[in-house]
Amino acid sequence: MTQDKPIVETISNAGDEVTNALKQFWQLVTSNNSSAKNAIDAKLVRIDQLPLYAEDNAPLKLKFVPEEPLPLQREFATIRVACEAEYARVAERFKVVDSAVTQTKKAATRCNAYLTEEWTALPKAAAITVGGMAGFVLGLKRGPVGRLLTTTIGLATMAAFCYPLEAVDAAKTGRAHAEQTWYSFQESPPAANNGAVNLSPPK
Amino acid sequence: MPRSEDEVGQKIDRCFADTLLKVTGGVAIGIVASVAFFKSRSWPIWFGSGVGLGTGWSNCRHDFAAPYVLHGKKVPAGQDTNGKPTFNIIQENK
Repeated sequence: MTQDKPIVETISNAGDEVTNALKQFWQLVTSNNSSAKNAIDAKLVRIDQLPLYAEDNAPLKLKFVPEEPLPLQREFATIRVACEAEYARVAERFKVVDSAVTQTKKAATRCNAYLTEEWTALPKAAAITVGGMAGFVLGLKRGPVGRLLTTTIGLATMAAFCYPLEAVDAAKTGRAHAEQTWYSFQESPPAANNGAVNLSPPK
Repeated sequence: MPRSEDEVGQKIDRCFADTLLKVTGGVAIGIVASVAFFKSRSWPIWFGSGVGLGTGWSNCRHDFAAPYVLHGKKVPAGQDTNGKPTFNIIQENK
């Protein structure tokens, strides 16, 4: 049977180990880390060498990789090329077709440009249409003439709201025409020649 | 150097293909939704196809409004689009 160490010796050894560990810890903490110091020394730069601006960094070399064509894109291209060739053949034979298509394309482009620049045109058109529909609904119980009248009044009212300057112009022109007509009506017609009508043949 | 009408044609092709893809996707989702949730009514299919058509139209408009846009990716040199390095394997002649 082995004899255990005396308890006093065990406690003493444990105390020594703890003391050694603490010493080692303190030494590690307080000692100069030479490798870290060297690393810091190696990175020393002057102020004008500091990488303050992004362009000082070496630019990452990039390349552009174009996307693969979508599914069926090549098939659509084939159909398009075939249609273009066929259209060119027809247009060469029938000039009027090409002319009509060109005129239509020009008109559509001009219309699109107008609608894009004058963005109020479509809302105004919608408002005038709604006014006309409201007039039509209000005149449903009347006869066809009344329906036409209420629809016209609705359209005209909304058009006058949407285009006030033009409405004022139209109203002024209408008033001038009405006045002119009234004056013409008021004026007596030129006096008829009351003298005796010579019915005898010329001599 | 490609001609301008070819570039426009490519955009048109892309528009058609993209719109077709989106309409197909919308119809597929509409069919599934119709069967699963809406007692096989037909409006989800129409709705899906309409959404696909509108999405394709919008993409097409953006594509034509930006004439210099390129469809692709910028990747670091020496990598492919998935970020994997590209190697040129040269066979040695023995």
